[in-house]
Amino acid sequence: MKAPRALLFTGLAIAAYAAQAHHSFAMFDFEKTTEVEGVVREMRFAAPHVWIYVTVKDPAKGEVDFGIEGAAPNTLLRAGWKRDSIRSGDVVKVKVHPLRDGAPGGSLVDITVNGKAVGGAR
Amino acid sequence: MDILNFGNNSGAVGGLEMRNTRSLFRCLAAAGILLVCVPALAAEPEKPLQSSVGDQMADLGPRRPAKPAPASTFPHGRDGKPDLTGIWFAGIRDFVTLDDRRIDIPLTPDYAAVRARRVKAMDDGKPLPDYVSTCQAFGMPRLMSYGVMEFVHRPEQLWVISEVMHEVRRVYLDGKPHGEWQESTFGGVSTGHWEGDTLVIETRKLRPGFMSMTGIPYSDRMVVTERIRMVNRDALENEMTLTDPVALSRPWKVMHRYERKEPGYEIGEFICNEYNVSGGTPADVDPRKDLPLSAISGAP
Repeated sequence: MKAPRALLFTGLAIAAYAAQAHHSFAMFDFEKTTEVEGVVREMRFAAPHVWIYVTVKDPAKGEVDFGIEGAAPNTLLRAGWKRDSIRSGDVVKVKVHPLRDGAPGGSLVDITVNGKAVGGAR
Repeated sequence: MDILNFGNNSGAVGGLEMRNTRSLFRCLAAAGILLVCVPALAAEPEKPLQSSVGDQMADLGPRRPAKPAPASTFPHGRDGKPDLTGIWFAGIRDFVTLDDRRIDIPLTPDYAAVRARRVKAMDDGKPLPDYVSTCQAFGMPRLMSYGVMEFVHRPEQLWVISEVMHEVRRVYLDGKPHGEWQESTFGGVSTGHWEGDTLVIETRKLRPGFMSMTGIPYSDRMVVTERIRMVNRDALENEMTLTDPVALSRPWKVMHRYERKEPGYEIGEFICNEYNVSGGTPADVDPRKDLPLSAISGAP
């Protein structure tokens, strides 16, 4: 069976946490998945976990800096990511498990960059 | 006595903590099948764990004991003993993570209270820091429970090198005393000897700490005894016995299973403090403050 790419990637993101999480993810609400869309301000492809900061336009609050925690770099590299798979200025759609406390951030579930899944070379 | 089992095929939920595990189990099951080849995971039932009764240990759930093969098929070192060199996957349960509140760990009351407080903090979405979340070290026994590690085995010494946390553990096999000058450390002092084809390792001089990210506390008097044996050339079992005169009311036995990674698999760099900004892990909080005073020898 060939898995749809989106599903594959969803699986990747979650499995990645499981494979390399060095701390608890209890601050994220795994019962909820929300989607944010915006422009990448900064990508920190670094241990222990990658972080993607996205500027999101919020109708009520204006521009909001949204922090997304991903997996460990090694896990993502083994799954086909590159250090520059996501760059500043990229337009991204991101599914996250949001922070429980309502702060603008979440745990990465799935991301598309300029309309494409991340994973292979760019 | 039954022992608690931590299989390397059963733990794709490890490393994630949350109150309601049901939906995550399913997500991760899909992830496991597609990407991390965790064959038993899809079938992993959501059954509650049995409670421990007396010294009957709870069974953590599905696991896959490896198929035994004759020792003649193992790689051997120049001392004629099984050569444990290789890259091994311990699973991702992180000793006891998601499931640990469902296991009856024989903690004494003070230590059970710390654990309960830390589990509640996790349930409240505000996990308390530990030595791993603050990028310090797994230490023993946690190191031997998690992720990918490389064993470099010479007859006189075994080195265990983890990917996550970049930790190096030295196990002295030369029969001489070691670490006499050292104070207590995260990894302690490990010496080992062979009983037949089983490598028996004893670890002492540990710093007090937590066995898991949920927080199972132990004192600096804990002794970890491991019995590591090759089941077949691609599988190891590590039967671990933990004794602690203040934290545990009786010896606690757990089984870790390791699976050899595929040929060509390489350990990567992991500099934990490169960018550790994860929530719930402020670097200025000392995890030691969360331990009972009895965990620290000589504490007032």
